[in-house]
Amino acid sequence: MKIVDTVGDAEMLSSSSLLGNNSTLSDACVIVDALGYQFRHELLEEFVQLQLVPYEKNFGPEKSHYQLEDVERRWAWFKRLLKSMDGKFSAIFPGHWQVQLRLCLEFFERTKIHLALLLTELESRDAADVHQLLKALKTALRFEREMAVRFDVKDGDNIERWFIHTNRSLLWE
Amino acid sequence: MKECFTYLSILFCFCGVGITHSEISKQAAATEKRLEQRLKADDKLMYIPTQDLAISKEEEEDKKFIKLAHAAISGGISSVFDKFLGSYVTLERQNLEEMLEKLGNEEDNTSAGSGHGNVYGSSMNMFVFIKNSISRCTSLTHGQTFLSLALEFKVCMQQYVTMLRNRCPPLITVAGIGGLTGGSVASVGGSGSGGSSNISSSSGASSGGGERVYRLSGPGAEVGLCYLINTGEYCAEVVPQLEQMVKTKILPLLADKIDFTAEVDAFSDLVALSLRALVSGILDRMDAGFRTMLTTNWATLEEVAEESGYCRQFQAVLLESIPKVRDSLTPSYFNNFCMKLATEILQK
Repeated sequence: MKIVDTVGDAEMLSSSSLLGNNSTLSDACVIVDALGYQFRHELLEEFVQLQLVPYEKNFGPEKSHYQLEDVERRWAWFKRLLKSMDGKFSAIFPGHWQVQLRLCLEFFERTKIHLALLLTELESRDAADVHQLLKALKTALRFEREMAVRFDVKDGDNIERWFIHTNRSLLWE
Repeated sequence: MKECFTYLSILFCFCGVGITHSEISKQAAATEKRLEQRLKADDKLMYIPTQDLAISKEEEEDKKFIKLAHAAISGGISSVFDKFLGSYVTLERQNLEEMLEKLGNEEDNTSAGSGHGNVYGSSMNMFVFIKNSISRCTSLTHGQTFLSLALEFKVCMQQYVTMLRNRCPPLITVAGIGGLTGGSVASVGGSGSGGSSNISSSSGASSGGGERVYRLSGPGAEVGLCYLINTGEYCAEVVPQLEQMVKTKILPLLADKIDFTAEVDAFSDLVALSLRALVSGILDRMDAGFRTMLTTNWATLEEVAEESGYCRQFQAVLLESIPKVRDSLTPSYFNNFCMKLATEILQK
């Protein structure tokens, strides 16, 4: 098996006559569905991993954009990937496969690992600039909000980040 | 069947996996075998997953996945930063320290606190600053960093209490009325920063057994103490609300680590200290009258006069101080003050 590049290659493959038309591919998805959850899960897992190969190449440890200043590029990269997925594959993959959400989850997992490593490294070298850190955090929060809107995530979906804006007001308010 | 495998192979290609002809054949054979086994097991010519049980199980798995993914999206990445925001807490601590320093240096005007009479504006400024700090922090994180910041608020409030306590005159020792010689006491001027308080303290103590008093200097010193009482009361009421606010906004698993009881106690102690100082200071002003009363040789008096001189001294002190105190304190604390003063006078 040969791993090929993802978004770009998928574009090339989708335009290739080898694949047939979208209808053929969505029929194939029905067959995959028929083979059961486990089969579909494994296939999608592989698909998701492949889509994120370029991400790892560019943003992984020791790679060119593995720095706090480039955090915003990560979000931009992923948004481009989602856009590409929406444009090319939304008519192919069945909605209940949640391909974009799977991609998002994997992206989050990888980014978490990257940032944890990066921040640990910066902290050990005492090289973290607080303003840079806050800027990166703010962009991460903004990105999370965008993804929450995109995937219709409610506040209550996350028990860990639970907080309620109380109506209780302080005396000075 | 063949067509089905062709579709699958296409799908693999589509997924970005380049597969050679031999690999396709191998995979197709393996898949065919799996399908055959499954068809045999199901005893059906075609596999159509129409069984309710299978469908509901898959739906359940999908729902589980969506729930997991949604949980990961909310704060999934930003939560990583939480452990590394020590420098942010340090920055906020510096801001709080600068704010306290500024409050200590500038004139501390008073304004009407809600139901507490006049309170020092510095207290309101401090709480507004803390509230803004909470807003800044909670826009970033509700976790460990917020907890660390809450601990900084505790430090800040304790420092503020100390700043207010320093506006109280320190205790000095003077010769007791029994001694009558008087202690060598020296006024050292107002200790209150900002100049709004005219409380001055005296230092030095007489040798031998003396009486410990708070000495008020200047005609408006008692008003300064009243403001301290009001401010302490106001803060003691606001701090629990602040605690509740922090508990509501912090992650639930950290909420029980928030405890501002010590700060409420510190402000309550300030109220008690200021009230004690106020009573003691007014009694100290009446000291000359008490001394006159005790040194009078009653045996030499031949007739009862309209009023003794020391009574006029008492009256003068009380007429000067009490209206100011009444106008500055809330009714409940004014009653408390009157009770304490009367008790002390009776014990003289």
